[in-house]
This record gives sequence, C-alpha cells and structure tokens, in this order.
Amino acid sequence: MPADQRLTLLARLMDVAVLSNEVHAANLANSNTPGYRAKAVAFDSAFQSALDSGGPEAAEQVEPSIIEPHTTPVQADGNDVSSDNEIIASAKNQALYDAYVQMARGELRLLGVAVTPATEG
Amino acid sequence: MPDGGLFRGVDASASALNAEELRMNVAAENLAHAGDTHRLANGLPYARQRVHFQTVLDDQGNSTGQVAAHIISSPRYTQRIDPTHPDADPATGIVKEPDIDPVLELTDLMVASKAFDANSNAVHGLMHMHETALHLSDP
Repeated sequence: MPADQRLTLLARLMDVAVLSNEVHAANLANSNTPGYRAKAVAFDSAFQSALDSGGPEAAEQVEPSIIEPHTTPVQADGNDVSSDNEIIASAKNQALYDAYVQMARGELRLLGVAVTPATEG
Repeated sequence: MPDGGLFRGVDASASALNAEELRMNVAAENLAHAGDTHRLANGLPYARQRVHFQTVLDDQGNSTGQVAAHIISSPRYTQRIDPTHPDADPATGIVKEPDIDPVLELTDLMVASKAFDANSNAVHGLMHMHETALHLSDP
C-alpha cells in the first residue's frame, strides 16, 4: 500500500473516530431526555470486510452510518442511554484516535525524509 | 460522512451543560421554597418548578444531538386548616403549602451534577482530539 493511500485510510479512520465521539457526546447530552434512544456509529465491520475483500480502494469508499443499536435496557422514561457505557466507549475512542495520530505522524515523517535532500558529511 | 460542523459534538455537550445547570438551579429553588406558604399575587403560594428535557431536531426532523430544557410549573399543594396562620385564607382558614419533597429535589440535584461533570469531560475529550489533529505536522 503506498504512503498516500495509508494516509487517506488513516484520515478516514480519524474522521470516523471524531464522528463517533460526537455521537457519544450527543448521547451523554441526552442521558436525561425522555424517549431518547442511544445512537452509535456503524463502520468498523463494513470497513474490515471491504479491506479484506476489495483492498484499500474498496475500504476508502466505506461510509459510516449512525444507527440505534437498542442494546441497553430502556428505562421508565423511554430513554436507553447508559452514561457509563458512553464514557467508556468515548475514552476507548480517544485512545484509538491518539494511536491513529501517531501512525499518521510516522507516515508524514517518512515522507519528510523522502523529500529532504541528503546533506553532505 | 454525515454533515455537521467541526464542533457539533461540543455544541451537544454545551447544550447539555446549560440544561443540567438549569435543572440544578430549579432544584435549589424548589428546595428553598419547601414549606413556603406565603401567598403570591394569584392567591397561591410558590408552585414547584420542573425541568423538561427535549432533543433538538433539525429541519428534517432528525436529532441534532443537542438538548433543550424548559421549565414547567407543577402547581400541586398540600393543605391544612390553621386559621391563626398568617398565610391562611381568611374565609376558609386553609393554609396551602407547595408539594415539595426535599429528598426528591436533592437526588435530582445530585443526578444533574453528575451529568454536568460527564458532559464537561466529553467536551475535554473532543477538544483534545481536535488539538492533536492540529499538531499532526509538528516535528
């Protein structure tokens, strides 16, 4: 996979991580809103299968979508946000984002080395 | 990618910080008026206030993630007959008191305070992410 393709994929993953954190923030914001159902970003499995079957070109085309997973118990007011789940997922997500940033920095450093003329001595 | 500004997540958290703060203020106000029998211009004592949370929708009716809080008056009173009370109705001798349960108000205050902290942490997390991206090309 060429460097620019790796950077494109990393940028996509970072975009999705930000979107996912925005969704967690929205869920937390609505943790006391009657009738609100928790939202989540569906991306990882579609991205993985596109990468496996079609390679990086196919993976670049995968779009994240916002779904309502309905996996947590619904409270009496019709709300199913679990604040603990949201905080943990958001912390994981931030760690993941930091990892992507480190990888992107590594790629950019390599590119920097490639475009810098060698100095004498 | 779904559209939305760079700070959509921060906006959602900010709206929740406002809403939770309103909820804390209202709970404190209710608590302060527990047992307040003084009759106002409408002839009734202080009415218990409640905060109602609602998701803010966009033009297409989709959730924006933001939350709006409104104050709703909940005029319920307990009454007792006490004709010598200064706030008693002169005709009937009935004293009305707002139906406020201090335990309920205090738990509401605690829940709102915790939710406020959680949302404030969410803002920190999002801002940290944006900041790391800004420094991506630093040596």
